[in-house]
Order: sequence, then structure tokens, then C-alpha cells
Amino acid sequence: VGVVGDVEQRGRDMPKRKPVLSQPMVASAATALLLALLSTAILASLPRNCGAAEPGDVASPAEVRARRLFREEDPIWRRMLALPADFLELTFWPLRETLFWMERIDLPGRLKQVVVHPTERASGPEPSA
Amino acid sequence: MTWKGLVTAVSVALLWITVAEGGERLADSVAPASPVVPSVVVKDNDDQPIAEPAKDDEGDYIWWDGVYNMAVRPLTRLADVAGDARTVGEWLGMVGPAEAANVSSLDEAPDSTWFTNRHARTPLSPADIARGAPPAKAPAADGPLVILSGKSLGMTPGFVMRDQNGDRFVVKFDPARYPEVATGAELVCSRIVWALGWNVPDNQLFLFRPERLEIADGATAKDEHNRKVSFTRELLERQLRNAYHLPDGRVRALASRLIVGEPKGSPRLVGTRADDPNDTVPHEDRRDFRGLRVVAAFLNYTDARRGNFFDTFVRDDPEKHGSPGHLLHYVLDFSSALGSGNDDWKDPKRGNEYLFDLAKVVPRLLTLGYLSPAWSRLPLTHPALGYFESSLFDPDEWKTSYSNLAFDRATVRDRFWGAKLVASLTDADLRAAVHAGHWSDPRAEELLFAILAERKRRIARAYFDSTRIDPADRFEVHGDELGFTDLAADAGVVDRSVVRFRCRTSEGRTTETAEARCPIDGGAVEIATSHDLGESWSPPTVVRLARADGSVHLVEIERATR
Repeated sequence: VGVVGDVEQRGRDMPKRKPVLSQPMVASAATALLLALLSTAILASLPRNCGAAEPGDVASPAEVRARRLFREEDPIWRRMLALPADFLELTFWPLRETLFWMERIDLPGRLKQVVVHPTERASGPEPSA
Repeated sequence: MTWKGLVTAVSVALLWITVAEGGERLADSVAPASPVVPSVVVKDNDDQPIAEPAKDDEGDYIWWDGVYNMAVRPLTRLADVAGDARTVGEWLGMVGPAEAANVSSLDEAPDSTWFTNRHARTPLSPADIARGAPPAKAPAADGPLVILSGKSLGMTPGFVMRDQNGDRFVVKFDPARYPEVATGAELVCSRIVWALGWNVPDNQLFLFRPERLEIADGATAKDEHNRKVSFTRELLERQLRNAYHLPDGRVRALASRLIVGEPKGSPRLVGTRADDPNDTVPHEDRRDFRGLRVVAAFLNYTDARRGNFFDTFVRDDPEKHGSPGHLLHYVLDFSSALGSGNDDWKDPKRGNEYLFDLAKVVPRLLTLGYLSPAWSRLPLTHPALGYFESSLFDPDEWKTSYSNLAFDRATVRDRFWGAKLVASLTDADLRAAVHAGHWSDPRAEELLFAILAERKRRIARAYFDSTRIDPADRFEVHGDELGFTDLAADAGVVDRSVVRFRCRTSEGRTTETAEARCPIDGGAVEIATSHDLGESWSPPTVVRLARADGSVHLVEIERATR
């Protein structure tokens, strides 16, 4: 009890400093930044209309969507609840890119070539010339 | 963090999304979650003019596609609280399964850029089915065939060529040791899938002499390590050496006419395409995508993965650069259907198990292989058909090579719809499609017909099951009666003598009958079907009617399921 009391006493003696940023504010800013980065990354990962400029005689995407006979869109609260899942999916981005690269260069085939090729050369027929 | 902090954070994030998307998508998102369904839609309007979308080549990468479908997506979705709540609700029976969103009030998929009601709406003749997708025209029988490039997609070797008419084709061969396996599967399956409603390329048998082939200047191909190389005479000869030749020296090949429009890659199996404003129904919630599972099972189309669906952008004015247009969605590559495994016979495991199926592998490991699967003891059906068969076929248990997230969402109603399409093929239709495979051995043709007929029967038995859904369909108003057909009896999987129907009109009158017709005395009729002389009844189907122009019309069909 005495120790606690001492600590409390020392605390009372220290000069009071007003924090520039309160803890909740810092946490809010960090969370907002994280959510903003996350949403930007998700939006950036979606395909966009390509090089050809959008012709003037085409209705805006919102108008086209509004005219559709069948439309299924989640309300914003539903999308927000799915954000953790979307974020988790983003964490697989390095794996995705690695698998793309491995398949693009046919990594298993190349490894096989590196391992098997010297053996084939060593055991293959002698050059005729 | 305090609740005020959380609210601030979420508000800032929402503001960011609003700014990033120009407020457009946010404004859309406040629209009701339930789909906007008009009364009876025969044709969807998803072909409105839009600006040209970007090419999305993610579907070309099969490894990521497999890992994503089998592991990443199922794992990450566990963090979706609302999705989890829905799943628990379904387990507890508090909510029904999430039904497809693009169905008309008659519980049908309307015509769209994905699907066209062909055989199901107005039966095609066997000759139409044998002809296949238009223009149904093989490459020119004479003149030079100019190779423009190697084939960029798919597992089988081949090239893109131009005939003397200027028409361009993708040409694929049968491997020398497996004659007719891949080309036969392509020819038969593309005709069936087209007849049932999906867009497929015009696939034709093409027999040609190698001397007709020329290589265009600058033609390129990809080597075995996916590196771009020149398409040389040596490369061509290597391809032809591995291809099956007829005894007279001609090469048997499949000529697949290039699809019209700009290639735009493969559509995602879940979600929508962000740059296609016509794409407003998540693909996993499309009836025509979910129901394709039944047709894929019928044909053992185990390679129904993202890379084998394909979008093209068709311009309203093909001559004008930058002209608006819309996307058309295709199903491709049936060289892995039936008993074909692209360049050999398909492993009989495929269709029965995923490539990596933990639930099947673990028991075998624990028993040191004592519990060997039935498919491992299957004999070869025929050299042209591989191990394709029907004795082990269970439509519900059938599997793609790896999980297809859209197929996995198929509900009883979606499967019923898919089964209706398959059952719409008569024996004559099936024989016509099978004959289009140009099998050199008549026994192969006969065997393939028998296998497909049995698989069709098993599909009808599984999905016209009165304990799961009412098999009554093809409703028609005749005067003051509503006539219909019991699809199970029609498919021959139930004896007509044990079939009974119970009709309840909106006035409360209930009748039981052996005849497939119910009296109409109001705006709705509730029908239930029994396949055991009335001891047990199917979930009810409610048919709603409306009087207009002096006659009664169907306006809604509501099927309950178990």
C-alpha cells in the first residue's frame, strides 16, 4: 500500500502537461489511415476502362447501372462488415504475384531443366563430330 | 479506442471512398439489397452501350486461380461477419439459401449476354444441334493456310491461322497416341452447351494436309517456358509430329473460329467487373452460371475454371474505332470434357474428387491405401473416350478439378433449372450431337450416347426429386384449367402410375388428381406432387395468374424447396 501511495504522491508532484494529441485521436487517425489505404488498394486493384476515351454517346456508368433490369448491390453497412475479409484477401497479394511469376516463367520446368539437363548431357550420346 | 474515435475513423474512410469513387458507387450502394425484378422478363438489358473495358488477364494464371478458389477465398470470407451470420442462419434453418438474382418471376434465366434460351424455349432440330454455333463453317477446303501465331491460351498445342477466305481459326490437334479424344470431346460438348443456351465458339472438324500450311512473317509463339519465340518451320514440324495423322496423311484437328470482338480476358467467378456497368449481378449469383454446374457434370467438364470463361467486347459499330459496345461472355475449351484430359485420357479421379481433396485423401492415408476409391478400379471405356462412364456418376457429388465458387453456390432451384435444360435433350438430339464428334469407330459413338443418356437419367432422378422440389413444370393455361408436366415422370425416372397431384386454388378448394391439371378459380394455384400415391408430398409450387385481354396469363412461379 505504501508503494502505491508513494507512486500516487510522486504523480501528484509532477507538473501537468497537456498532450498535443489525445490517445483516441491518434488511434482514430491511424485507423482512418489504415481504412483509407485499404479502400484505395482495393479500388486500385479493380479493372478500369482501358485506353479508349469514353465516347460522348455512352450513358454514364451510374445511368447504365440504374437502367439495369437486374441489379444486386450490397448496402454500405454490408460492405463495411466485409472489409476485414477484403483486407485479409489483400494480404495474399504477395502470394498471388509470386504464383503469377512462377507460372509466367514456368519455374518448375526451368528447375527441372537445371536439374535434369546436366544428367542428360552426361549420359547422352557422344557428339558425332 | 473510444466509440467516438471509431466513428471518426469510419467517417473519414467513408469520405475517402466517396471522393475516390466520385460518389457514384456510394450512391448506388444505398439502393436496396434485394434485386430489382420486373414482372416477366424474357430478355435482360445487359447489352447497353458502354465504353470499352480493360483486358483482365488474371484468369490466364491457373495456379493462383486454384489456390484462390480452394483456400484464399474460403479462408478470408470467414472474416466477413455478415456472411458468417448468414451461413449460421442457413444451418439453423432460419433463412433459406441465397437464391440466384437474375431470374424472372417465372423462375427462369432470361436471355442475356451470358445465356440465350435456345433449345429450352423452342426446341432445335437434331440437325441444328449437329451444326452447332453459327456460322457453322469449317475453314476453306483448298488454298493456303497461313499461320499467324502460336496458340496463347489453353493446355493443348496449336496455332492461329487464316484460310484463303480471310477467316481466322484457332487450330488444335489430337495427340498422336490419343486419336479423336480431345477433338471429339470439343465437337460434341460445344454443340450441347451451345444448344442449351451458352455462347461457345464455332468449333468444326478440320482435316488438312500439312503441305497447305505456311508461316506468316513475324509469326510468334511461346516456348515451353512461356518465352516469346519466332514461329519457325521447326516448331511447326514438332507440333505436327506429335499430332494424330489419318492413314491418308491428313491431320485431324479442331478448327475453332475466332470469336468476334476485342478479347477482354476471363470474368471473375465471384463478384462483378468494375469496369462493366452492365454487370450488376455478382457472377456467383447468376442463375446461368450456377446452373451450368449441372451441364458441366453431365459432360464431365471438370475444367470449368475461370480461364475457360471468356469475355469479348463487341462494338455497336465495328468499323468505328472507339465505338461503344457491350461485353459478350463465352464458355471455352471442352478438350478436358468427357474422357479427355487435354492431351491424354483424363484421370478417372477427375469428376470424382478435386485435384487435392483433403476429405478423400485423409481416410486413404490413415488406412495406408486400403480404402481405395471406386474410380481407381474403372476399366478404360474406349480408346477414343478414355475413362468416361456413368456407373459412378452422382450429379450432387460430381466435382470440378478445383472448387468453382459459382457452382458451389447452386441451390436446389438452380440445379432444377440446369436439369431441365439437360432433360430437354431427346435421344435424337443426343445422337445428333454425339455423331458430330466424327468417331471412326461406330462403337465409340454408341457407347458415348449410352453414357450420356444414363448421366441425363441420373441428373433427372437427382434434381426432379419430389422430396426436394416440386417437379411440376411447363405450365399452360387451357380455359379454366392449368396444365403442366411432371418432369420426373417425363424423364422416365418415376412410374406415372404412382404420381398424384394436389391442387389448392386461391378460393381454398383442394383436389387430388392423377391428371397433370388443376382448376383455376382465382389468381393463384398451389400445386404439390407425390411420387408414392399421395403418402408424401413435394414442397409446394405456387403459380400466380393474371387476366388480361380476355385471357389468363402466368405471371409468377414460386417454388419452395427442402
